[in-house]
Amino acid sequence: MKAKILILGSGFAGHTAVLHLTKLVGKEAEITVVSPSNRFTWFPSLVWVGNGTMRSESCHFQLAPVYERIGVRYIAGRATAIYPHARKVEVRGDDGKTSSESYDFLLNATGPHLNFEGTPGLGPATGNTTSICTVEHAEDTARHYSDVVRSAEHGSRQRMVIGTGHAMATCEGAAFEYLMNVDFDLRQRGIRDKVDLVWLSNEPEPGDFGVDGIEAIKGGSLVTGASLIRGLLDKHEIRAILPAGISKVEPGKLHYEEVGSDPAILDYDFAMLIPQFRGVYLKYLAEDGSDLGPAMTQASGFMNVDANYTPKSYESYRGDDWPATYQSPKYDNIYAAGIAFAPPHPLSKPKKTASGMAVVATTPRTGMASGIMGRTVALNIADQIHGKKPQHHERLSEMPSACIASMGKSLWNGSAASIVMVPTARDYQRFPKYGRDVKLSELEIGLAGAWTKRAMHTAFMWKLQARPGWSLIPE
Amino acid sequence: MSSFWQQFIPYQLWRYVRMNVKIYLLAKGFIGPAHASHADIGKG
Repeated sequence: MKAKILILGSGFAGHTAVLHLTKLVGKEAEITVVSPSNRFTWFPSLVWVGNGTMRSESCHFQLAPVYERIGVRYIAGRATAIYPHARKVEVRGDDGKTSSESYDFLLNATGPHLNFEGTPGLGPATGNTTSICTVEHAEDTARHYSDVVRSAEHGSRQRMVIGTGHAMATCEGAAFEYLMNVDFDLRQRGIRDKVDLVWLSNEPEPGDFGVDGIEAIKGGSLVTGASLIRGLLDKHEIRAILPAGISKVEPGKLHYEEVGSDPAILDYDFAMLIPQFRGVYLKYLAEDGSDLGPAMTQASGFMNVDANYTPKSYESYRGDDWPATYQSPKYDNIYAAGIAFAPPHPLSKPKKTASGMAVVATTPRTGMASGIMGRTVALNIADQIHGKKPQHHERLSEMPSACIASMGKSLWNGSAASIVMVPTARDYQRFPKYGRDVKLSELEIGLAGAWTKRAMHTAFMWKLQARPGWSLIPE
Repeated sequence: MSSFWQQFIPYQLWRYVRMNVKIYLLAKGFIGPAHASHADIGKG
């Protein structure tokens, strides 16, 4: 009897887990993926789709043919409820029909609910602001961006605000990439002087990116992300407002609170603002129908795993608070990875505005980190199928992260910030001075980064389509 | 980064190779602090 593995979601964590599971236990298990989207999107390239320098078709592919080729069953639909005792998941198919899928092992990799409604007036649906969180959003952003460009070319001064649309949003790095790509594109077009660019972010300081900043030893001295990004913003004449949280959006007006200042209103012509992320709408139900949600999730809707969720002060946070195996503490056959798992605390220092608004750059759990988590879960499920306890661990405070932040797509005169953090979350027990290995970490800006960013796009689009040699390319 | 280095292709090629090799070795777990063993992929 084959073990049944059910994967909810097909993003970085879910899809990476699927690939490794087919390699690890493909002959011993029946692998099923439930995902509302028959499409894998290489999200890091949406920063280029959003300013019209890349066609959206270049950064996504159809999943169903890939799954058919590697022997994975695919269900186009959305999980609506998990019944942990009965080991089954209720699925609402894209055709509107409801079915029940049983499992022996379950991975919740459902990603985020984009919580635009968390900030009144925010989001593409309102027409007030745009986003680059999905292909459709990025395409919509590109249309708005071309309007701004047209107006600026006709001599009308424009103000573009780019950053985070909620005081507790995440993915500041993606928003920053978009900002720098817009700056680059406007310079290429010769209209940069017609556009006021504003970086409005919930980060405690420039270059924090939700990971409590970055630093590396360069040429024998310590370089910090804060000084590098601050210098970059000055050099490119970009006004920075941070740490700040947006409280409300009206057509052409952003209401925001900056820490240490009174609430203010900023007029704008274009705003690309990343929303807060929350857990997707998914019920956790007992056999009698009672709600297991409070025991299995945090208030954010993200699923509890083997992290230390004990509330404590920022100064008391530890590297080993972060989950190791991504296994549910209540059900040893359920895992959560990627954005779907509940982080124990933020990495960045929380701030508060005068009115009491908590301004916190929430920990990013996308891209490389999500892929590594997906692989770790795959290894642990394989362990369990082979009658062992999960033996693989990869805390955020253990795993390295590489982030190539584009600052201009051109392979001739473009640029990117190449960032490597070892490990991702600071661990002062292991690295007492900085919490990271600053000799191994990297932080540099240059044309080489633009090449690396483009090379990663090509390499990962190959790997994630499970093409020959995919496993040679790491997460 | 000065515009000289920005446009000096051999230097940028060196940075490209160095950065990609480093990221590959880190991601594969060949260098850096010990973390989940990548070597046992396939051994279960």
